[in-house]
Order: sequence, then C-alpha cells, then structure tokens
Amino acid sequence: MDEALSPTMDMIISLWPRFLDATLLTLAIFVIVSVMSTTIGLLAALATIGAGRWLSMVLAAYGWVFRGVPELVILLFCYLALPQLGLDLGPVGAAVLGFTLISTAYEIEIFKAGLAGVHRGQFEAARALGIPLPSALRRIVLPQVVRIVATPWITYATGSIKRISIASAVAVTEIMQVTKQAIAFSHQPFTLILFASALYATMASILMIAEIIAARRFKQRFGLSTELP
Amino acid sequence: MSQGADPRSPAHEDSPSAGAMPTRVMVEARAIVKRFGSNTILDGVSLAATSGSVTAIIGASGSGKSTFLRCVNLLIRPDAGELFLDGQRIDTDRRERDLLRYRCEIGMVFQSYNLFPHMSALQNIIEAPMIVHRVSRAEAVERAMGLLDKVRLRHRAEAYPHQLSGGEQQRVAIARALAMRPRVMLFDEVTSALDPELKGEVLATMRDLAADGMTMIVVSHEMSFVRQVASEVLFMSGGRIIERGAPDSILDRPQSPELSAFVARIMD
Ligand SMILES: Nc1ncnc2c1ncn2[C@@H]1O[C@H](COP(=O)(O)OP(=O)(O)O)[C@@H](O)[C@H]1O
Ligand SMILES: [Mg+2]
Repeated sequence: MDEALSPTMDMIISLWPRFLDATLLTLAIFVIVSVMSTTIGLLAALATIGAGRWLSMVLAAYGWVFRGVPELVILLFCYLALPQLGLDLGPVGAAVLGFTLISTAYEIEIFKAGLAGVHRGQFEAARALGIPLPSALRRIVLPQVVRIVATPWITYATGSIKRISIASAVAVTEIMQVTKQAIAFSHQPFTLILFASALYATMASILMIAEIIAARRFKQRFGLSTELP
Repeated sequence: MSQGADPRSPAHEDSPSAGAMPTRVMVEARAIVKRFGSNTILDGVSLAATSGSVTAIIGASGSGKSTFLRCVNLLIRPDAGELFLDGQRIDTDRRERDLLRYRCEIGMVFQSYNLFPHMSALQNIIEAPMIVHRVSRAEAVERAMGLLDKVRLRHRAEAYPHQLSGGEQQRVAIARALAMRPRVMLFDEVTSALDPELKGEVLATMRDLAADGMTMIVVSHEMSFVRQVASEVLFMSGGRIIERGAPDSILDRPQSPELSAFVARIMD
C-alpha cells in the first residue's frame, strides 16, 4: 500500500505549494466578487423601491444579458475584447470584472425577491412611526431581508466558487489551471482531478455549513424559519 | 346628511374626559378626496376630533375607512382636501421627509399588528423614539417599561412577536405607537384579526387610553365598545360619510337605508 501510494503522495506534496496558491487565489476572487456583487446587487434592488419604471427596465436588460450569455463568453470578452477598447485588466482583473458583472445580475434578483418577501405592513409601520426611510431600511427591513435571502444567497455563492474554475480559460492560475498544468507533466489525471474536486468540495462544504448555522441561529433567536412563509 | 351633532359639541356624557378639557379641535380633515386611477375612493370626507374625544368610523368593507385613516396621517396623500393638527394647517404636498414630524404626532395601530419580527417587545417600543427623537437607550427603555405596564405586558418585555398571542402583539403595537407621545391615535380594525377571547384585552387597553384623555379615531365594528366609548360615530359608505352623530342615535335610529342595512347586518 505504502509503496504504491508514495509516488502519488510525493507528487501531491511537491505540488502542494502551487495548489495552495491556486486555492488562495480562487478564494480571493470569490471574496472580492461576492462582496462587490452583493453590495451592488443590494443597492440596485433597494433603488427599485419607489423608483420609476426606467430603472426596472435597465436592470431587466442588464439581467437578461448577464444571466443569458454563457460565463465563458463574458470572461473571454473581458480578457480579450476589452483590451482592444483600451482596458487591459490582465487575467485576474478580467476574471474579477467578468464574474462581478455576472454575479451582480443574480444578486439583484436575490435581493429583489428578499425585499418583496418583507411584508409591506413593515414599511407602513415604520413610516407611521415617523422613522426615516434610510433608518427603516437599515434597522427594520434589511435584517428581515437577510433572513429571507440567506438560503438563496449561499446556494448561489456555492455555485460561484465552483464557477471560478472557468477562469482557467483566461489564464488565471486558479485550481483548475494548476490541475491542468500538473496533469500535463505528471500524467496522473485521476489523482489530480480527484484532488482538485476535494478542494472545491471543501470550500463548498464550508459555505453549506455556514448556511446550516445561520438557519439555526435565526430559528433560535427569532423563531423564524429561513424558508419563505 | 349630518345627524346634527356639531363636532365641537361637548363629548359624549359617558366619556371620562367630558368637561375636563376645553373643546379644542385636535385633528381636523376637510373634504378629503382620494382617487386610485379612475376610482374615487374618498369623495370629500370631513372630520373634526376634539381633544380627548373618541371618534368611531363604521361602514362596510371597501367603503374607504382604511384609506381615510391613511390620509389622516399622510401614509397616503390625499388628492384634495385639508388637514389640521391642533389648529395648524398641514401642507400635504411636502416631501416625505418633511411629513415625518407630523406623522409621529399621530400614532397608528393596524389590524395586522405589524410588529418588527426580529425585535423583542421592548426593542419594538424603543426603536422609533431612539431613531426619531434621539432619546438615550436608558431613557427609552424606562419609558417603554412604563408603557408595557400600562398595557399589562411588563413580564413579556423580552419576548419576540412570535412568542406572543395576537392580543399581546396588538397591545405591544399600541405601546409602540404611544412611545412616540402622539397627540392623536388612529386604530384600524385592531381587533378584527383576534379570537373573541383576545379582543377584550385590547379593547380594555383602548378604554384605558380614552379614559386618559387620548384623542382617538377608531375604525371598529365592536359595537358595545363603540356605544360605550365613542363620542361620535361616523358611518361611511362609498367613500362618503353619510351619517354622523352620537352612538345611540346612529346605531338605534339609522336614517339612511345604507346604515339601516349595515346595522342590521352587524347586529345579528
Ligand atoms: N392602493 C390602492 N390602490 C387601488 N385601490 C385601492 C388601494 N387601497 C384601497 N383601494 C380601494 O379602495 C377601496 C376602499 O378600501 P379601504 O379604504 O381599504 O376600505 P375599508 O377599510 O373601508 O374596507 C376598496 O375598493 C379598495 O379596493
Ligand atoms: Mg380597512
């Protein structure tokens, strides 16, 4: 057993620093993209409250493009086409921009649904008490939105992490890119793909566990289910 | 049309505040009109509530009672008409921000309670005073505990809305509105969603409030409450007030066929 496994182990150990860098890069892209798309998505969804029809139409068109066009096409556009327009962000920059554009389209929908899930009586009660809209959103509406979007947000985030593997197509040295390079010189695709899968599964599991903890916390604290009523 | 009761006449004799206060008009609405699209939902509704009076509004579902209450505190803006608070004319065209100060002088309690579900009873009550009046937490808590005493729920201060019965939730909602020290309270069918055995505790709280001299406008179909507490009853139908007067005359001697039919329906 030991004899048979040791060359494989040796390979993994020798590649580990590169896999570690690739994992950290994947996580960094994920965190930056998630923070930016969540912030923009939330603000855009909030802006639709009481805004005119034109904003809804602009957002609908945006969602249509960035949810409709394949992720790879958008990444290639950011990596290859934007430099032609004078915007050369490099591989990582292009990937971050592309994924942010895509994720924002989904986050807008997630937060719009979250806002729609807050009973309109909540807005009315806040207004009747004379609470200004910004305070009402921050103190009364958003905490309820967070509860509603916790599950869809984490579901989407879990997909997001996996989707970053597509960035290997634009020369980002994330996990899949390193795996492909390692396969090219070691000819051990089985082990390496299994190992890459384990890395993705670990990251996704952490998010899924976070969701379970969040759901339990909401339940204990407020007796509220994270399921929609 | 009018049952002859001048809104400025002394309050109903059962009212505990009768005679104790000068008959100052606390809130007045003149010829309020509200349209939704091409439907005229309020067609010139007027009301003058003297300080410490209890005005009851009755009428069939869809007659415009809730819309009228929402116009009084400007949750929705009337298309025409005037509002006065304690003699001061309210400019209904102001921006939402500028209406907030007027709105917190007028407390409102809803049929569906609308407590903030992620906050305890106490937090529900202290939230608006801390944000709007910028009172310290300690001061807000002290006053909130006093209000919880008043609605007999001091022991439930730390409970979340889902842990409270409907009647308890509604009493917390009343305390929450009172925490803003409003000069007028609006009640929109606040017992309609409650089981019969829970209505009583909410109505008792409202009776206490009336006895304290709060000016109240109450949409309610609790006829014994209306009879005992109201100074004046307005009957709405089709977006207009078609009869108004003392509770006994309105309920026992309806003039219009609409009111006769309505009274017959709710008495059985
Ligand atoms: N926001 C709105 N848009 C359109 N119609 C409305 C709106 N609010 C109320 N209405 C209509 O106005 C009428 C009166 O409603 P409401 O004031 O709630 O009556 P009530 O409280 O007496 O039952 C109803 O026909 C209702 O459908
Ligand atoms: Mg109503």
